[in-house]
Amino acid sequence: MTDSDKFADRLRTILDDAQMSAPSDGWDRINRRISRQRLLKTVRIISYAAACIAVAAVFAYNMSGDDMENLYSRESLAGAYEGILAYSEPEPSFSGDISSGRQRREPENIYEHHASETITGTDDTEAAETVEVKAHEKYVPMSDHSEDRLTNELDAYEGPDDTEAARPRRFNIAAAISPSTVSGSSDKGVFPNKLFSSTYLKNEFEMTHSLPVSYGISFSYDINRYLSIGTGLNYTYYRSRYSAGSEYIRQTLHYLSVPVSIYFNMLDSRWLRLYAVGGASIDKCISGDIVYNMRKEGGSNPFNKEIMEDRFQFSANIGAGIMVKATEYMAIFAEPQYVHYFNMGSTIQSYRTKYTDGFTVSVGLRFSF
Amino acid sequence: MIRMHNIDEETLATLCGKGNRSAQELLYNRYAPYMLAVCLRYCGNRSDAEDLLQDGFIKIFNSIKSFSYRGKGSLKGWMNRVFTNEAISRIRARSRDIQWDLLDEKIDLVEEEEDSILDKVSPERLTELISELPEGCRNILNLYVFEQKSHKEIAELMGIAENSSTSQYFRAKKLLKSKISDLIKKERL
Repeated sequence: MTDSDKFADRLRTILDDAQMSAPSDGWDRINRRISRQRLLKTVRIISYAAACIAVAAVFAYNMSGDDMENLYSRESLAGAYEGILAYSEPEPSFSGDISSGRQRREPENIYEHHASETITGTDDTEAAETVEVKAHEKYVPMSDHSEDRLTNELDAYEGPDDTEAARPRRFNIAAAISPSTVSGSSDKGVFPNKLFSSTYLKNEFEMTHSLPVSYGISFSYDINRYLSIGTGLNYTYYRSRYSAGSEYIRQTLHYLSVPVSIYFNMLDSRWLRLYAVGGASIDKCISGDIVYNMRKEGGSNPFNKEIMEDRFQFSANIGAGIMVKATEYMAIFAEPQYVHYFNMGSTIQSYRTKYTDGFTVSVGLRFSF
Repeated sequence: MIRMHNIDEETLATLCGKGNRSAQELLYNRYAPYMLAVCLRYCGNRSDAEDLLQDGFIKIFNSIKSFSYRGKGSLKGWMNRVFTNEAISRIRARSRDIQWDLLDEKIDLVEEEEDSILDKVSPERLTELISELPEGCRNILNLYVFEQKSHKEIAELMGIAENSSTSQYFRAKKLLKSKISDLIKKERL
C-alpha cells in the first residue's frame, strides 16, 4: 500500500470499532451446534473404545483357542500311535493335579484320558498291566518299547500343523517412511517467544505448515503368533513458512522419536498378514532454525536464529497394518494410523501443534530373522 | 460463583477453553456485534454474514485453548484474525466463480470526491455500503484496506493479474464514494 493512500487509512480507522446488531437467536444456534459437536465427539470416543475392546477380545479369544489347539493336536499325536498311552514317570500326586486341571502344552505332560477305550498294548500282558495300574493310580506306565517309539515320534514332531498360517519369524527389522495427512483440529500455534517482536506482538499470523515426513527403523519381536512388541528410532522433518507483504519467515525443525508399539496379528497367511497396531512415542526436538527476511528496496536482509524445544513431547497412535510377504525373509508393509500429538505446552508453532490429531501412513520394508 | 459480566479477557478466554457455556455465551454477546460488522464487510448480504459469524464462533470455541493472552485487546485481535482467515478462505474457494464484469453497474463517477466523504456516514452504514459493493471489488477492497495485502499478494490469492487487482480497487473506491454521495443526497431530500 502506498503512503499516499489516505482513503484506505481513513476507512480502516473509521471501521475499526464498527458494530452491527447481532441476531437475537445467534447464541442459541451456536449453542445447539456445540452440543451436537460434543455428542459426536463422545460417540467417536466410545467407538474407539469399543474398537479397542473388540480387538482385545478377538486377541484373547484367539489366544485361548491357540492353547487348546496345541494341546489337542499334541494329544492326538500321542494317541494316534498304537501302544502309546503315556510316558511320564509314575508320580501319583503330579498326575492327579494335571488330570483335573488345564494341561501344559509340554510333551511330557501328555496323558491319556480314556485308557479303557484306547489301550491297545503291544501284547496282552502289557495291556492288562497297564489297565491294572491305571485303575489304582490314574496314570498308565508305558512299556519300554512304547517309550522308545514315543521318543522317536516326539523328536520328529514339529508342533501343530502350520502349513496354512506360516509361523512368524521371531525377530523383525523394518525401515519405513511416514508422510502425514491432515485431519482433525486446527489449533493455532504460538510463535517463538519474542523472536521478532513486531510481528509477534500483532498476534495475528498463522504459519503455513508443510506435511512432515518421517524416516525410521524399527525392531519388533514376535512374542507368539498373535502378539508382537516393537521399538525403534524415527527422524521427522517439520517445515513451516509465513509471508505477508515484504516479510518472509521460514522455520525448520528436526525431531528424533523413540516409539514403542504393540502389534496384534489378526490374520497371518503365507503371503499376507493383517494386524492392529497401537503405541506411543517420545519425541524430542534435536535442532531447528528460523529465517526471517524483510525484503527491502535494493535487496533483502535475512536474519537467522537457531530455535530449540527443550521439553520432551509425546504422541500416541492406533491403527491397522497390512504386510505382504514378498519373500520368506522380506515383506512390504503399510500402516495407516491415527495419531494424537501431546505438545506439552510447546511454544514453537509447527505442524504438530496446529494439527494435534491426524492420520499418518507408514510404508516400508520388514526383514524377518 | 463467578460474576460473569465483570470478567476480564484473559479469564474469559480460559473459561471458554474449558468449555464453560456461560463464558462462551458472554464471549458471544460481548464480541458478536463487532465480528458481525467484520463478516458483513466480507459478505454480500446479512444472511451470509450471519452464517460466517456462526462458523467463526464455533472455530473460536474449538481453538481458544491455543490462544495466549498478550495484553488488553489481544483476544479481540485474535478473534478478528480467526474471522478474517475464515472469510479469506471462503474468498479463495469462490475466487473462480467471481464475476469481474466492469459494466455491471453504472458508476456515477465522483472522481475528485475527497476522502473526507467517508466521515459523513456512520460506521454501521458504511459497513453496509461496503457489503453492497460487487463481490470482486469488495473482496479486493477488504484485502487491500483491512488485511493490508499488496496487489501482488491479492493477485496471487484471487488468481488474477496484478493490474486487475489495482483497477478493481480503484473501482471499489469510486463505487463506495458514489454510494455515499447518493446516500447523502437522499438524506438531504
